[in-house]
Amino acid sequence: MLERLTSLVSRLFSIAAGAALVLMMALTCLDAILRDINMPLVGINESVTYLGALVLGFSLPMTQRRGGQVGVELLSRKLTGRPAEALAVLVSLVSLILCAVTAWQCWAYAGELKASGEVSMNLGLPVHLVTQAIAVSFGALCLVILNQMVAAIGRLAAK
Amino acid sequence: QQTLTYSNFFPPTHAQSVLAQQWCDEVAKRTDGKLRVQYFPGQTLTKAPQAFEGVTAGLSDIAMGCFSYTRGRFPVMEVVDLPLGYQNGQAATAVINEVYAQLKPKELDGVEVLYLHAHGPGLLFTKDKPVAKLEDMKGLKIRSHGSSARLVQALGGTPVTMAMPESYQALSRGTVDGSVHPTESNLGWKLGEVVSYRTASFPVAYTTGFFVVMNKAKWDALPEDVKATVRQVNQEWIAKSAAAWDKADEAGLEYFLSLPGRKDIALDAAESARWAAAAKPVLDEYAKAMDERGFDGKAIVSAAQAALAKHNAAK
Amino acid sequence: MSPDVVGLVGIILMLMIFLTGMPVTYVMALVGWLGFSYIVSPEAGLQLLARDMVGTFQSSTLVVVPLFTLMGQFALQAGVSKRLYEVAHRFTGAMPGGLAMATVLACTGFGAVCGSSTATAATMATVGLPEMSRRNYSPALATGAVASGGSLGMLMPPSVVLIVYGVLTEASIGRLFVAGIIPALLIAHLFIVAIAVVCWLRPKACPVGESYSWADKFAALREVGEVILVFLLVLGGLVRGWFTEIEAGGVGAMLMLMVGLARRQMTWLAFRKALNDTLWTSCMTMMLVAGAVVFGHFLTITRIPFAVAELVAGLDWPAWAVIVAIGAVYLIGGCIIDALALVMLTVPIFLPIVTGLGFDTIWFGVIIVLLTQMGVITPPVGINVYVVQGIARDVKLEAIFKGSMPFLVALIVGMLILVTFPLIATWLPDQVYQHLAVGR
Ligand code: NA
Ligand code: NA
Repeated sequence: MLERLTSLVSRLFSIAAGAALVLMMALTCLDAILRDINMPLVGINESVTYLGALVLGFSLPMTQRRGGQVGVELLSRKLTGRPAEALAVLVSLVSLILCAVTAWQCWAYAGELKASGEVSMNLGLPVHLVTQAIAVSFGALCLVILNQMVAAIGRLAAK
Repeated sequence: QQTLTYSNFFPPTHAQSVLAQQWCDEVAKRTDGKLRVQYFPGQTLTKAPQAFEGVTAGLSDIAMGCFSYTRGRFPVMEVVDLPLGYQNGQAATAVINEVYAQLKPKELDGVEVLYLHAHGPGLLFTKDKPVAKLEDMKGLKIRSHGSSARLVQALGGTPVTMAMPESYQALSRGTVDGSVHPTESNLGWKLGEVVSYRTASFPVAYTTGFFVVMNKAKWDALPEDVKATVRQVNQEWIAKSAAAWDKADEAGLEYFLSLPGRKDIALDAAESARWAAAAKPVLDEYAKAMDERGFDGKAIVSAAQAALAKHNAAK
Repeated sequence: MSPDVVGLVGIILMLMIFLTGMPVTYVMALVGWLGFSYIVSPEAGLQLLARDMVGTFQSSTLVVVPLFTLMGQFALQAGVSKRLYEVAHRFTGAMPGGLAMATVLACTGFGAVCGSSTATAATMATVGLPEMSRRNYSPALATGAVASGGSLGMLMPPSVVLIVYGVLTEASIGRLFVAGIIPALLIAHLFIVAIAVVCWLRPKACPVGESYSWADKFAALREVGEVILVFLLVLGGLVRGWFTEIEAGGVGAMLMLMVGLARRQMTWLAFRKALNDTLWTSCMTMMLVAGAVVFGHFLTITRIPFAVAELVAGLDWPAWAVIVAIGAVYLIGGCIIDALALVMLTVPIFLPIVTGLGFDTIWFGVIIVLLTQMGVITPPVGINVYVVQGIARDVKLEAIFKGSMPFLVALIVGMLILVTFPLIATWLPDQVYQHLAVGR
């Protein structure tokens, strides 16, 4: 159940990230072409920056799921059996706390940005939306880590 | 005895960063070490756009930053960045401090404003095509940023928005045909190497307002005598900052004109009036947007213009 | 506890938590967050975490990472990387260790289209490791060559580190890019010498490959014609002002996609794989940067980097000794925190000293990249080694670090050469920009 939800969420987020990445590539090309024919569109560069933030944020769940975040396994590799699983549970618990706090703080930060009335430099877009999206991505990341933790607890209990 | 942190986005070698460092030393000296300030230049503690919120969030106790990096957050203070026709940095700095003292905008309520300053006149520089009249602007791609982009549009040019660090290359390779920036940047950002003409567009000169603010709670906790000393130092540093901007402009102009083939193009009285008229919609647009946000836009613009009229004449 | 003691405790704590296998970025963010909270306030620590994550993700200088990684992935999926590899192999395969040398050359070629050393290492590990393993190369030499060769991705233009350095120092990024070319070729050659020495000492580590006639060698060159064209378009377009760095990434990716489509190698499946691999590679890279930024802010508030930098700055030593001391700071510092964060913290302090001593800003930028290259292959924080290990899971981390050591020596030799002959870095940009300057 949790596994299926996690898989779905991480897939949806990576589709959104991929779409943002393709859009980013297209917009930069468009920007170069339009400027060279003397019709530059104001604000493409800031849109690209915000799209970049979305690309990275939306990729968080998928990256975690495929074990993309690198770690030093010097000690953990030497462990086997229960100690190894216990360590895995502990590591995912601490990671979960860190990412949950980050998600919560990003959400609060987005609220502050909204209240301050800050908008993007050239297009006047509300900047808190991107921050909110990053907060939600960290939330989805928490779900992935939680799923990994539950799996590790299962393995620990089985031993 | 208290130790505070001061975050500045200017790199340590910049004149305004050197001055800020001296502010820290002066405060420590005059309070007999009761207030010490640790200085973090060059965005090492908070990034330029996060300077202000870094102070309210407590990441640094004091910060220097600029109002225009966070559009919409300082609607009233943005009036200073409009192309009002600044003659020099003294006038711009006097205007920003006067506008603040007069309007006491709510947007700055969350912090203790130590002092404000603003750079010298932002003018038009072009690479291959000299601009002597409004018509010359047509079809020129001009590097600009935020509110100066709206000025370029009003003057009939094509604004290309990019941040300062990208400007040199964009000009050097011809990605853009010109740029609006203070004369100081010809030396500071080496832009003088890649532009050939300065249009003395003083009638539509803009500026960028900078703040030095302190965390409210930290300020309130200071003893009265320390506060009084800091206030006194601040007053002196307003003058020093303004003078530093003007000195930097002089050096920038000298450097620019020392390069071969550089020209300074003056606008006569009739042309000046045309430029000012062309830029007026930028002011009106600002006033209208402010009305929509529930301010009296016209009054704010008038306050800034009145202050400028006084200080432009003073020099 | 005084802040510098807290800083040292933080460093030791970080190294200890590393051993648990927790992702490096999380460890750095965690220790940075807790340390900042301890020194400033718990509220400030929480605010720091959010602002550094959002700030790094929205960084307009690092937005090129996903674009250039995408360009590299399209090149990989279109078979371009493999063809580049084949060419290099034909020219060097007959020598002992020739395939490892070919890997270094392929890294140099790929570095010319990719701005990130991490992405270069990841891509070249995918392409090169199976080939070398198939021909019984020692895993340590093979992975070491890929991890170290990948670091050439940041010296050969375009380069993320040079962009960051240019923004910090207000130096022209274009000049920095051009300045990187000759040193990159020099380092590539030193890497090849390093491989030759390893092969001489341990012949078993590198079997000899078959030899090709000159006709075959040049026939293979034709196969990479379009790559050279794309490279010339991207670099030429940058220099001629057709587009900015960020756009170069987007245009390059689009061109590589078109090459793949024209060669009918870019299937829907390959396209999706390129996208997905770009997403996780750049997400991982940026998370490593973000974690390093949080930890870096913690170290900043302890003032340790300033104290060390000021100590070095205050040394009344001859110019070359100061440069060596600065190098030592980066070499030791690069072992503790991510080199990119170290660059951001210390360059503003070192630059005035270095330029005050009469050294060139552009030259110092190249030196910084060399030091950063050392940082990504030295333990315990060596990002390239982590990336390669992520792809070659059966090779032990220590083996990769050990395999990188000969290349570290080559980098040190390269740095000594650059200190002795600064013209290697400054001559080419002076030539190129002399012709592009206006109004004279
Ligand atoms: Na590169
Ligand atoms: Na390292």
